[in-house]
Amino acid sequence: MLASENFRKLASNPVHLEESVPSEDIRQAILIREVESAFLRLFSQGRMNGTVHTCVGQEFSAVAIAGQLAPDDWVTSNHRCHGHFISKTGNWRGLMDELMGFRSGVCMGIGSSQHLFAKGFLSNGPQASLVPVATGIGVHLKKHDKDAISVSFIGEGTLGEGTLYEAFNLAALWGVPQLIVCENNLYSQSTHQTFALAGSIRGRAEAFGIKSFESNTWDPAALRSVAKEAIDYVRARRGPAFLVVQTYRLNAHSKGDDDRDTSEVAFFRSRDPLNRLLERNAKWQSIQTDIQAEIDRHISDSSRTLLTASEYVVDQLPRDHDLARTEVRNEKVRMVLALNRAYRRLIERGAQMIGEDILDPYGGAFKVTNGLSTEFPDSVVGTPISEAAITGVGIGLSLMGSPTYVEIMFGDFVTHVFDQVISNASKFFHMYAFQAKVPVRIRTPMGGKRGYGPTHSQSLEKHLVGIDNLGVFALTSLEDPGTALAAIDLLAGPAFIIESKVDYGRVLWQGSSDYGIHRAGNELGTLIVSPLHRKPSVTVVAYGDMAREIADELETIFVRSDSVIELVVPITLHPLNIQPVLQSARQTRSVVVVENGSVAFGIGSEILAELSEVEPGLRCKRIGADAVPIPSVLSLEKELLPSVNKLIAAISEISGV
Amino acid sequence: MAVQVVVERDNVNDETVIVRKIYKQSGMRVAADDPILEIETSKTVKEVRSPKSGFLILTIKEGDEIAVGGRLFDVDTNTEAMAHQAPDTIGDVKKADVGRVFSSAAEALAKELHVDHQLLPEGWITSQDVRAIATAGKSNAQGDGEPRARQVARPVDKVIPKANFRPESMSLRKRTEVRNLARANSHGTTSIIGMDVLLPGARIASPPYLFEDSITDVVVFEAAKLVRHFPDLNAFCVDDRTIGYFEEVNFGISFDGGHDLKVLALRNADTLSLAQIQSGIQELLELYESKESIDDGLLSTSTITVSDLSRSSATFMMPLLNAEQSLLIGITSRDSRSYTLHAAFDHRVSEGLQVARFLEELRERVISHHRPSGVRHNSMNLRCSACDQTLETEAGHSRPWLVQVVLQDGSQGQLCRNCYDGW
Repeated sequence: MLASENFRKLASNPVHLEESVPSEDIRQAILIREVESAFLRLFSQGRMNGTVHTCVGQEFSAVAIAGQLAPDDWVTSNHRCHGHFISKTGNWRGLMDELMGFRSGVCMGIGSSQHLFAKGFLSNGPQASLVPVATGIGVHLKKHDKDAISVSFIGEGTLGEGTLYEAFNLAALWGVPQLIVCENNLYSQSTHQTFALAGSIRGRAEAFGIKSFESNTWDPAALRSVAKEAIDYVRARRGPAFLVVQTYRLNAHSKGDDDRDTSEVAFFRSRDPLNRLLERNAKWQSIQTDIQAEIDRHISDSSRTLLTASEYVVDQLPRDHDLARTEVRNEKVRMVLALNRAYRRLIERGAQMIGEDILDPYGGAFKVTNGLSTEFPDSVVGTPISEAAITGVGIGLSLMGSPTYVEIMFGDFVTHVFDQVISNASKFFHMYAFQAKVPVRIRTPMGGKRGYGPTHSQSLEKHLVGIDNLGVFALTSLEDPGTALAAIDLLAGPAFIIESKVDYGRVLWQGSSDYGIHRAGNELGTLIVSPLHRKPSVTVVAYGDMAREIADELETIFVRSDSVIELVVPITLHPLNIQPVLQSARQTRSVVVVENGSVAFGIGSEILAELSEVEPGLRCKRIGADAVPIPSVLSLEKELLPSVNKLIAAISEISGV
Repeated sequence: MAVQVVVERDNVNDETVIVRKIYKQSGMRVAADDPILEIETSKTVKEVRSPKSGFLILTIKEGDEIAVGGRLFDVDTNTEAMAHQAPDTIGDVKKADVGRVFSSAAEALAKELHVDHQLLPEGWITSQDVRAIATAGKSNAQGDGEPRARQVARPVDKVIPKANFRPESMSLRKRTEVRNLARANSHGTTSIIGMDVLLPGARIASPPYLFEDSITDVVVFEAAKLVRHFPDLNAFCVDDRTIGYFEEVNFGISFDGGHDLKVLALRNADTLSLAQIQSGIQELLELYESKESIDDGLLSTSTITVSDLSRSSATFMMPLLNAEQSLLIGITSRDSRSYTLHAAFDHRVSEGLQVARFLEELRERVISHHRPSGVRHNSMNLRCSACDQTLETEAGHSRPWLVQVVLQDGSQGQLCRNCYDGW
């Protein structure tokens, strides 16, 4: 138990707070402690939402560090964030209202203890999740502000999360003005450090070439001075820094879950500088009493108005219910070039683009970003292989007002970004009571048919649709992607853009003598490929490259299936507008939905469910890939993935042929 | 690379052909086997199709006469547009016919049911389409007691009448209409237009007894001549792309004694005088009532028909056209001065406006055989714009008319004989 011994040693030096620490700091520390104590009281009275993770015993970490920051600096924190919040924003009243669940709370009661937001501050529960976001904020600050810095509070338990190290790497590589503060209180929830941590804590940062500092909360004056040194270092743009603060929490991890040795807790409680001050100093005792009274007054005076469901259940998703018709006429240009010029236009409009291998001369794995980094060196950033962190960076940049396009090289790798998408991008708007906008766009090519095998051929969109507040869009070579992208660029919320590998090489669809194509709705609406001379008898819903493959084989499909199809191609997968599909289905009474991934619980399920809610009695079928990892053998891959053959079979099946 | 299409030799006689109809425009994208234009030789009219897919280069125009071996058009196959062509299409797609795309099921069914492809419309053809044509054929087949081995249904019976005719190719527009009419299936392809004929008075020349209180003789007389100006009404629909124009006007007179409806032809009716018409009809009536066997030539050579129900109290009729005709005039009457002509016509051959004009003209001509009586008709109230005299007062003169004029303010007026002469 070496760590514990060190801690005991540190805690054993007697320190007289009133002699070494500014009064304001002491007052702030007491305030934090009393607010936390009030929370515990309210909790036992049943007047608190959720749980609390109090920072009693660690207050000086917040006071010394967050308390020395400037208004333009940004702080991210974790579940034990109250001290940080109060030190950075001073808004303890809003914090209390938040935890009591009132509309007057920092986030209207939506976020409560772990999910706070104010200018210059945000916190979120999942460990390390916000660190790359803070890196992104730091990147933005470096570009636009000479002085401001980004500070991330983590615990020593957070040192187990991989994303943290991705962020270390990025911060060091790019010289981001980010200070990461590790409050080491020896225990991650119930796990002693010995069982959680291998190697050296400071060594971790130093391995990335990040300057590290160390201090503790038992000598707040020294901590203050070390903190200033670290902050000044980062502010002077000399690079990121890592500050480890040894400390000890006097209360349970959250509430009632304390299995630590009681004598150990008692030891640290008795050595707690604040406790010692308050035991013997009458002046500070009375200040403490005043603070308690102020807190109690606030609790009783607080307006108990609550947020309503109708106020809360809104989102930023684009929903166009107009089905205005626009003819679609395409230039003869390859999809990849059409994408390139569309993204070029967006960068001209101020977008940032980050991704792996997107810089010239390589220009991206599929050449979508070819030439862009040369033309816009400040806007196009190449990154190491850190999908999660670069997504976090994109979120941070977007949060600060720079809409950012994050390229994930292969759709298969979105597995890495789920935490960033679900914990951050999807949630900020609501969780932070509509105060935060995250116009991040994650773009990636999905799909197989190149023999790339199980982890380079997947279509994982069904795992992305339906995530709160996240628009999901599937581009297709049936229409110039610039149209949809221009509209996506204007969205206030996060978006997922699905491109397709096999579609990249195709020349935009030049039409057919037997079919016409038009768009129903606005730029994110639905493409309808309709037979010109016959009434369709089957509605086929498809998206992305499969839509194009079907459009190229309309006559073959007719000849082999004996049915004239109408092809309905939604650009927006989520939120899905069922109207165009419904209109077609009402005529044909037969619907086949084609998706790129496997069928179970997929896109087709949603479409047919929405249809059946309003129009019973349709003949339906979903087709997609067989539910096995995609093999590399080309012929087998072709057979297992959705195809025109599968479509023809499905049409024949529902036509009763 | 451009593929050139030239005029092929059709027969030993022709050195040239005439371009009748061009379906596509120069510059259009065409697919292999798309019909491009129609040429006429001395023997026939035929379509010329594109040999390849590509862009059409065409400089000739309709009506041009092109020598045998001369160039009709080119198809440019070397275009970037080819890059878009669907790659390996899955399975082999057989184009059964030019301008028609059969689904595999349709092709198989057509074979099984022996459906003539020519009966099917252009475009994409499903097995349902094939079945519909086959079923229509079944119901059209006249019950002749024997089950037919071949259930061939034709939208038009290709019965060749005895009267000589000259075939002409239907315009593309008309062909499309024919297809649509067949599909619409409302009351076949026959349409009816009615027109009232209000006689101003009695016949100027008193007719034989048979035609007292009747206008049938003058209708036949006038209509026979009038169809020479409306050839579409003296024709019939040969098939879904050809109209046959009769050389003679053989007016069919419908006789129905209640037991035996027959239509007997008054041949070359347009060459006959009114008197000859009257006696001709009389003779046919006697022949009909004699119940002797009637010469084939009289029974099957009618090119248009009249059906007179003016002796009955019917006020409306929807006559059925005979298969090889395109016009049937039905006559009903309300009283001795008030008749209605019901023209049943084949919409595949002519059109409403044309028939209406025909009827208007026919009406005027029929009316012209009648003299205004003392009964006031509206027209009798017409006054001379100059001297205010009414038409009635003109009635006794040798020239009992008012001349219709356009006045200075653009309105229409009339001038009586005196005032007209005076001008």
